[in-house]
Amino acid sequence: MNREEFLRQLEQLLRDIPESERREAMEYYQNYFEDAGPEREAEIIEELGSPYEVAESIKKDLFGENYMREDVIKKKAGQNYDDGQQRQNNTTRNILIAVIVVLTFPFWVGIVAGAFGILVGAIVCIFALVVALIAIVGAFFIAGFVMAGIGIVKMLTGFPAVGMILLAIGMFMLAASLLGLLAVVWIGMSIVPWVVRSIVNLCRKIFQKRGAAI
Amino acid sequence: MAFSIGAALLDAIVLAVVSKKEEGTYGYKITQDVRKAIDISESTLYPVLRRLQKNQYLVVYDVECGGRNRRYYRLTKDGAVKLEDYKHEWADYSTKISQIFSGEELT
Repeated sequence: MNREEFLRQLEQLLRDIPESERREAMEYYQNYFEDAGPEREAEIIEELGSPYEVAESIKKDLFGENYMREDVIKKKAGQNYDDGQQRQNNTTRNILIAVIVVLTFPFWVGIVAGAFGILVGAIVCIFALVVALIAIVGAFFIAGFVMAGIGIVKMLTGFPAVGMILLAIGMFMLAASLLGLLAVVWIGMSIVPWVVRSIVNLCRKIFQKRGAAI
Repeated sequence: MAFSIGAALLDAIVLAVVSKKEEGTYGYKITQDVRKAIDISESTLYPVLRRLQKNQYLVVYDVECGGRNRRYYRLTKDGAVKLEDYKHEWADYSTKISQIFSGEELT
């Protein structure tokens, strides 16, 4: 689209506003193109959008904020109607859900209690595993030191072969304990926060759902 | 920009831009000057200028320029008063917002 075409379309779109307003607007945009110069012509047409948008902005100002095209008004009215219907349906559904929840209380109370028990059990289990892992790491660390110490003593007191084996086993245990320490740190840094976050999210979801349903 | 610009603020900005030029200024120039400060589309300004003109804050006059007429806008007395009002209100408003942002107690 070039400038002439743009202005012609704009004039067409403005034919339902007062003559003086149309002339004023046309003059403004003609001026605008002239002042911008031919080298900016394409850029300005791009920026202005379509003649339709420009016409809308003029009419909106002329006829007030409530001015709307007929098709938009119709669409809005339809939407409102749909919204109302939807709300009605939601209310009925929510009441039904509430009645069902109350009536079936004896059945689901056991399931909820069970689920809660499993959740608590799982948390305790994870916690116990972490503690056990820490204990094993500690035990390996101490045992490794003791073994290595005994090995050195044996080596110095005339049992070099036995001493070396003991020293090697001790070093192996120390290495294992260091790896275990890394594992504990990793669990502490990533797994534990993740579990806590998941539980918090789960609780929030449950409460939100409950709130929305009521 | 994250903040939207309401009609009053846009009016104030346009009045301020026009007031900068004693001898008046024209639509294209006004648009470019406003767009240096805020991100608005080129089609936003005509209705604003037209409205300000109808409220008699701006007057238009044609100037012969290179064999054609160019429409100029200039502030009226009312426009200058209105701009002062806007400036005061803006100073008050922006001070309060800045105070809230910096965590100061509102006075």
